Amino acid sequence: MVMNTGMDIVRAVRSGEMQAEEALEHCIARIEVTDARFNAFTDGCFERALREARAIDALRARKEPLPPLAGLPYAVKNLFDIEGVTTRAGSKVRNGEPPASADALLVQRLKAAGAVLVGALNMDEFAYGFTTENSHYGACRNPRDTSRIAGGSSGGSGACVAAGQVPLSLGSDTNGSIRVPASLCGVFGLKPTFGRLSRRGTFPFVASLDHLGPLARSVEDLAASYDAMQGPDPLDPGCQATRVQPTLAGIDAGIAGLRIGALGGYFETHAGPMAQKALDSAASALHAERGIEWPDAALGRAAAFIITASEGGALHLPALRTRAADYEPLSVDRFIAGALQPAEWYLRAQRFRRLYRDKVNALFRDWDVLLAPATPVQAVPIGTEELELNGMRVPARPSMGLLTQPVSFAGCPVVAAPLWPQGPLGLPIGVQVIAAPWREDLALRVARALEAVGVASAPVEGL
Amino acid sequence: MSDVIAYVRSSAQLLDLTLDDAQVERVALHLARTRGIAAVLANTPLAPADELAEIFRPAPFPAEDAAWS
Repeated sequence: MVMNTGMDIVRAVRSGEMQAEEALEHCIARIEVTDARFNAFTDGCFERALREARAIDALRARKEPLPPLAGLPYAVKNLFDIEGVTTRAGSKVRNGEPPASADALLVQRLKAAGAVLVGALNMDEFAYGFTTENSHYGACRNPRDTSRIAGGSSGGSGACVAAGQVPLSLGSDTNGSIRVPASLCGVFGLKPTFGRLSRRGTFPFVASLDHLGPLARSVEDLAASYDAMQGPDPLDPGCQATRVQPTLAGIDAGIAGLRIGALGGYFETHAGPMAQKALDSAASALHAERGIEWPDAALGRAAAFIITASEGGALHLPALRTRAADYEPLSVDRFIAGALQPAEWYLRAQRFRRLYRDKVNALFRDWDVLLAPATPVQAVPIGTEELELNGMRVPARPSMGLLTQPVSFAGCPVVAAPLWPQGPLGLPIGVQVIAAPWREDLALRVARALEAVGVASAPVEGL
Repeated sequence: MSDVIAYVRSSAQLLDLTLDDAQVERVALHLARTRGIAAVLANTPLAPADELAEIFRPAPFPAEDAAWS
């Protein structure tokens, strides 16, 4: 059962081959047996999950129409509000906060679509990190090799899917926090267009850059869950999409007629040998033209870095005045440094962003989809301080976002697709499938093409 | 580096942040790194008319689905 994708479960529930409660029990058993090794979950909500699963089974028993994700178990990064659960956002300082009075909007939408919420997941404190080495709740361990990081900040979201605990999870991505764990854990991840999905009911990190999205073991699951979460939300000022643009029906349309390129320059310089090998495999399978130049990638990363530090630091300044000692040791000094940054740095970065967006959008007049590695290297051992990247020693933790930050700064939708450059027994590494703003359909379609030919895959670890 | 340390001390004081000497050193190290990053951006020409990105929108949300395929 754990080998099933989410939509396999939905089909089995729909046909009567399996009950939603049975699917849930398999997931709970898997979590109970494996999570001591992976530390992906921080909170379970199994009683609620049982109620939701039984409601689906009751619908079927009454021969009523089933919603599109009926019986699909999933979990969320613990910055999503879950009614009755305190939203920790990976921190200790929020532990005294009252439980959330309502679900985050995306959780509400998944519930309406019939999905079954199983629990909340480990993450870097307040999403400020790429490794999920959380000092309060313990490091999340990569199911592909438990001595290594799962990536972050949505590390639990990547690990739980790779481990077969649930077929679907939700994460957030400010600078790469869905794509990095997807790459390192060997699962698919979708970071939609900035402004596509409502962020209401989640604990923010950087309002100018925060995105939410799904991680899964198949592109079909990404598309199905993404479609269910779409919709306008006038109460999230950053939610710009005014209607739903479904993608699921089109994911098998293939790549005929699409102009596909592979990024060079900055994205080559900052990619290690395995990242380059993965990109080569994807580019060959898709007949992509090589060496396409993404405009001002280094400047985009610099500006994203500065905006992240300023907004993140400012958000936490009140708590940093009184409770800095309770913050994550790996990020507290960065939060404080960000709060002290001169305003000119921040304003310049936001002014630059306007020009950057125009240059990136112009690139997509010539291309439908662009490819780039998702991370410079595969998962490193937990505790790694530095790594070697093409002959240079670089700090390991921030460098995991080198290749994702310039892309999300432009707001483009991206699917991270997992490749296995050392074969099925090696470690995975992701390739970013990038499309123009609002063209998630194209990114999903091309990622599905990679999956269909077996170049990208996300097997359950240990089976 | 001493200028960054002095900056950290004074700006932290302005913002009512109490930092001990070790914290000041660590924060200054981060800020000095960010200064290097900001310097790259500072060399990028911006005209007075180049305003801030509004509540960021990557592109106008399409009014029609004609191009949707």
